[in-house]
Amino acid sequence: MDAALPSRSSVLRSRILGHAGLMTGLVLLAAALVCAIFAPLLSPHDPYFQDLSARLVPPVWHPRGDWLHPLGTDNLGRDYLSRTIYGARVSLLIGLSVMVVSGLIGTAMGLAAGYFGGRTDMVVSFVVTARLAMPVVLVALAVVALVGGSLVVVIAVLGLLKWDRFAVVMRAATQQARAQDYVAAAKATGASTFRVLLGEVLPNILPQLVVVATLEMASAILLEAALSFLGLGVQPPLPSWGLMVSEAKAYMFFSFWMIAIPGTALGLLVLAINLVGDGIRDVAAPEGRA
Amino acid sequence: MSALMQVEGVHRAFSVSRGLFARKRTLHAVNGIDLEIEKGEVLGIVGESGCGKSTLARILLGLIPASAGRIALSGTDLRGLDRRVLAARVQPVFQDPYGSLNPRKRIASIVALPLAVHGMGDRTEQRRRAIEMLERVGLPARLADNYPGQLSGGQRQRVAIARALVMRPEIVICDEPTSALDVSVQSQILNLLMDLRQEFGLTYVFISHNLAVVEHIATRVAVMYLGRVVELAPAAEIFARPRHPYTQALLASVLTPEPGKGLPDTHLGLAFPDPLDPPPGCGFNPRCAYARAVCRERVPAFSEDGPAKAACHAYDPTFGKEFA
Repeated sequence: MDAALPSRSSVLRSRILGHAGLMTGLVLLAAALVCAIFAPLLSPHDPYFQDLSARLVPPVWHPRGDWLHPLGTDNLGRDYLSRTIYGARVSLLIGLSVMVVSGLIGTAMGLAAGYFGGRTDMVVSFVVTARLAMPVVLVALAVVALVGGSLVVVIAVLGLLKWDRFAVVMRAATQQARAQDYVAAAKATGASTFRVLLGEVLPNILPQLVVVATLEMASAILLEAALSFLGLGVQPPLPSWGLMVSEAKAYMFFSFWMIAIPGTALGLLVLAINLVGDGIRDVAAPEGRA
Repeated sequence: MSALMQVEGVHRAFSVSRGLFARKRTLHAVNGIDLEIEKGEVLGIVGESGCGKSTLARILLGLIPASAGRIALSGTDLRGLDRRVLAARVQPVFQDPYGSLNPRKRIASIVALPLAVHGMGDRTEQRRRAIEMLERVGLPARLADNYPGQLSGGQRQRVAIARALVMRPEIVICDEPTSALDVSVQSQILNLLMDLRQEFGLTYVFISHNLAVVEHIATRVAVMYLGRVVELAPAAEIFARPRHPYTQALLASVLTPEPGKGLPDTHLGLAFPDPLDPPPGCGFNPRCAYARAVCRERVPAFSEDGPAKAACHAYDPTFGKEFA
């Protein structure tokens, strides 16, 4: 009879390949990752090199554009394609780091609250509520005003602030998993709480965790862009898409591409991450359940 | 012979919150239970929904602590001992084989979990013993790398039994092990449990609301009502001559396959009492056809009547004549 059962990996593969949204997201995300990792190889120019004789060159499809700068140059004559490619580094680095930091904090809190319940749950829920009462942008503004803005500060501030959704979702998922008999059976074998949490509960709430993680990564990237746009995030001349939009806003009536190009890159990356998150949720039904 | 497992005055209360401002109420799910489980016996525990059967099972498994009372294994009090001491000797089989197997783990690693927890052997040794046990419960070794979702209900329950037995425990607590299964599969699982009992010298605590199953499998039966044991007798005795009025009603409630007989009349006019607000005296008095004044005033103690023990005033020499 098991000969008739398709293997688990082949079922998963066909489910992934058949999911148009997931595939679109994966392709876009892969492109962004390639840009971020191989930025020095892919960019035609040094993203920091200023050529004041070639300021505000329009992109190649414009009558005044040329192939030397395919996406034109900015107000300081820096090659826009190179800056956009390097910008993927900042966005992905911040998105991933914030996701990991806040994911670790939030998942630990949610697991503890959902599994132990009672007083632990009350304390965690209170901390989550207290955290939700703090506006992220205002807190970030205060921190940057105190210690100055930089990549590390942005990651730290966002990572230490954005664990709330992890905690809330993991708490609810853990509460559900905890009531299952397989948890009782594992406890009845004498397994330690740590083993029950990591071996029995966590694998069953992993799909929810992955979905929250992608959503949080997308939102961290958007927040970084917003902070950088306000001048509170990463500092010039580092090429961040939010910073590029900010620098371009003075020229948006004359050189609209300066704002459109990083804006499009940002939009596509966030779209890709959200598509991947949604796709994983659809694909990751428990093994053997079609 | 001293008992394998002794349960003395075990009591479990739950605090029930009824809204933000309402006073918390106490629910006595298990209300003073004394049992001695002898080696090799099959102790059936029967009773209707909500009588505390499953709470008792969870206490015996050490999943929830008793509020009061003590549990001892071969004379050793379990309080304060590592949970693994109990786990090595007492293992469960749960009702729902769809919920009791982790859907994200392979069959072999589910069955090997007790070995891994107790650090018995290395990985290959654990896997070998898991597969050996799968074959003992009638599953082919090729299922070892499948996921629970690919198995039928009966196969899953066999996996749960294999997991319970892989460490060679002495007592297996079966909490309604067949009630989630198709009728055709139920007898297979029961026969398997009986065969394994012979093979491994197991002692079963068999919790069920299905009297036919209990009659088939149990050597001794405890009838529970509102968190208390109301009758305790050898299985043959309890089915031939039930003492307690509740046991009588329970046996009368079994549906017969004869068409045209209609539903049996149990004389249990009233619904199950609210466990948050149990009636004074004998818990069964509001539904009992023989209830007297004393039943509404005093909780009955066990009275012996031949091989049976019943917690009913009618069998108490002091009050018995009132019921004549």
